[in-house]
Amino acid sequence: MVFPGMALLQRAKGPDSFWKKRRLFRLTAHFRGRNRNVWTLVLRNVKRALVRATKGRIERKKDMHDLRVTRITAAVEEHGFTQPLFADGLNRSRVYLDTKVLADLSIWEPRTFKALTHLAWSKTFKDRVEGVDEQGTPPANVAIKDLKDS
Amino acid sequence: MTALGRVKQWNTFARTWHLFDAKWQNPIESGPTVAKYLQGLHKPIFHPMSECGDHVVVINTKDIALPGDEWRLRVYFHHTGYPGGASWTKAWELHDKDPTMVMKKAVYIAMDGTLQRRYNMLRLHLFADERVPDEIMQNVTNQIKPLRYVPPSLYDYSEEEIEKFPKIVDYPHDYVIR
Amino acid sequence: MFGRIISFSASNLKALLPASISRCTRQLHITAPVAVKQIIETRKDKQLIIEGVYMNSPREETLLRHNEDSDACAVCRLNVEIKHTDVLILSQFIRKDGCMLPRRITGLCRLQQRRIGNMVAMANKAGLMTSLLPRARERDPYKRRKEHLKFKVYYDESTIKPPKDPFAPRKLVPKDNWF
Repeated sequence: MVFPGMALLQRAKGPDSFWKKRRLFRLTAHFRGRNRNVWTLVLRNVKRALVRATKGRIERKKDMHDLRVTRITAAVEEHGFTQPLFADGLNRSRVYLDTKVLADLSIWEPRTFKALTHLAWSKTFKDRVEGVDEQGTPPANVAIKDLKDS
Repeated sequence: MTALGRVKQWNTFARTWHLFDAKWQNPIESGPTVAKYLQGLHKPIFHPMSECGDHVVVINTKDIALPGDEWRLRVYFHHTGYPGGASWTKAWELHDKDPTMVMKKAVYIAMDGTLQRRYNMLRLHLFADERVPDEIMQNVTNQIKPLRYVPPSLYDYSEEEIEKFPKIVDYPHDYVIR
Repeated sequence: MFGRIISFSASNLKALLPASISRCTRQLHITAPVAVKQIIETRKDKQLIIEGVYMNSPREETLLRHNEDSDACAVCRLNVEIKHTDVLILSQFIRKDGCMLPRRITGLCRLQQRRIGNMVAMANKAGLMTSLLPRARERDPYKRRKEHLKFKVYYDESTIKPPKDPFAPRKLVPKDNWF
């Protein structure tokens, strides 16, 4: 039997539905199993992946900051000082270097970083910040008398 | 690479072997310190994905000291997986069976619970006394400073030192020293 | 009275006493004690004078005479913070077996006697003055109840509070009102 009306029931979605779907399929090359080939699954998983990428951009900034602080802590501990006091000492000396620069210096410019540690130690010692005495005597030959008290 | 460049490269990236003497140390307090060296958190080049941890050799683990009542009260839980397989072992019982376990558990618990933890623990070498194999001792180049100051016992002082030490109190006139 | 106080130390008196006298004396102590009185024999013509002369205590040379005018006890006078790890100080207050001496011998005030007593106990338990304790020798290993004490223990003396001074004036703390 022939049903001529059946063809009219088919929805005409448009000539470029293939290309529209392909926009999303391009993003799923690295997905697992059916998630990369089946349209209905691709729709859900691509959305989740994009949402995660958006949230991850914010998380990445936090993660990078935490990693840099860990590295700075390690470098400061190598010189016998502590990271909170180091940050306090730099702020008091009005050395406003951010964590990115400090972390890079700690890896690539060790002697500069050592000088910064000595500066922070001497300044916190001079200002009698709580907890400096436990670190012992500050290093000698650090010129902080010209620093104006902030 | 120049010779200096090579020295700098090795200085930065070589895996160091550290020694830690656990005599009279509290393992729960010193666990985080040892874990720090095993993970590589003492290095400015640290990254969790790069295996930058060092080796740590812990000696005299049988001589660890716990404060006060902890030998009796601190318990370690274990479950075999089978029904009725839960057990609580006291610290002194565990130390009896294996003198390195308390220190090992302290370090394991103190570490970040990532997948790297098991690999970092492989770089921890525990010895109950001071007998360390030569192959390991040859690699050791640094000693981690002990956290607790070990007070000298009366028998670490010579008799002369004890006699010469100023006395606060004298015996009464008619007291017989026993 | 006389017989109770005297003790004879073989090392001190062998050279002085003739054999006849040393045999008839009673050995009151087995360990080498320090003689309180020394027996000195002198012959004058037909007279034999036996006298007991008080000997100096072994601590006289190194005794710290500090603020002797004050009425306070020796440790209070010293005004030094003693920790349980200061073994050289604490060992001056113990008997040979590691036990604390009574107050009538040490001459300390009640407060300091309690503190030093606590610290001696801590030092013993922490293994700093341990091998003289008799109990460890006597104890039957199969009957020990305190198995957990065979490993090293340390004490934090910031946890021991000094005993309350009963003669200190009471501070009136006002009750805080709940309303």
